[in-house]
Amino acid sequence: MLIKRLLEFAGIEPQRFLVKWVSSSEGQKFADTISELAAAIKALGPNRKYRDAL
Amino acid sequence: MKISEQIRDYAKKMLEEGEVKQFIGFEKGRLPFHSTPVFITEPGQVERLIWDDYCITNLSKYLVNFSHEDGKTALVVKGCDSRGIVRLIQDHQLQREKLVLIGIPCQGMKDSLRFFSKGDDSLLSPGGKCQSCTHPNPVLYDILIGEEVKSVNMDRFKKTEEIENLNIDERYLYWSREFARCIRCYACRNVCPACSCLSCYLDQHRVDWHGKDPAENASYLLTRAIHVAGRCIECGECARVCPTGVSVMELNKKLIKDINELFGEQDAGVDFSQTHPLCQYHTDDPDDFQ
Repeated sequence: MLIKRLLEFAGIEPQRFLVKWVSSSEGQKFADTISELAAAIKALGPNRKYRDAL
Repeated sequence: MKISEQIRDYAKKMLEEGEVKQFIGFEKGRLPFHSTPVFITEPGQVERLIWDDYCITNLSKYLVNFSHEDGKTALVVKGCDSRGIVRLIQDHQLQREKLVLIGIPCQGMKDSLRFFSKGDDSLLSPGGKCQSCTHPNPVLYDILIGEEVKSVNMDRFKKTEEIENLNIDERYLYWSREFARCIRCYACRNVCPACSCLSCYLDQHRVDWHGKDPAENASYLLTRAIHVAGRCIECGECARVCPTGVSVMELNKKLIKDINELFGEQDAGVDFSQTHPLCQYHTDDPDDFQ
């Protein structure tokens, strides 16, 4: 939660970061979580923030 | 009697009687408007000790170097130094019985670096580290010199909120300019009483956890902030020592503000009974990751 808020504070889209509690027996929940995350990141496009030397 | 003279008297007595092995305080620096930490081991040297408006350095981090040596160390402490010591004792980096603390209530210190760069010699210089001090009186001491002072009640999260209120692109622009100035001297890490690991991941070149490419400045500064989250005592030394003036302290303030919002109001390094906010669990903790 703190990292998510800190990244948001630094100007990174909070949708790019996810912490979720998924048990090893919850295969479907894991697949759904990752699909949702991948779709959210695809919609945002590649992140170049803080990647290139300024 | 002046505070400087009282410090000298105590130092002389302690060193002559062999109660302490060394005395850490301040002496006049080589430049005017500048005082620098000094390590006194001989009773004959106590005349070097002074106390003035420029004793801004937080001395608590020095103690880590002597924690495994025999003998006691005496130290002059302001509010921020004492909080650093409480924090280090809580982290088992120091032993209380090996310290003799001379507490001095502090009305804010003048910053020689700000004086030379900006001509600013106010005690609570705007943007300076003492401006948002919440504990000017030492929280831990053996001997107290001087009268207790009242804390100056300023809004310590004002700038944090200003940055929060920018939109996401403005925030990125602000921080990318800040991070771009970082020269990775690690002064902010070295001076920090919460950064007490003797072996830091940043120095482990062989493992190569973290490179020195300028593009990695952001991850360095954000990681450093997370590493001290919940332990930062808000002494502001990280921002004061930064040679390029990166507003390092704003990242710490943001984390302190968030911890206060999420896990309840608390100040690190004030009370021995208070445990680290990120090292405990309550059933009513916020859990939006579920």
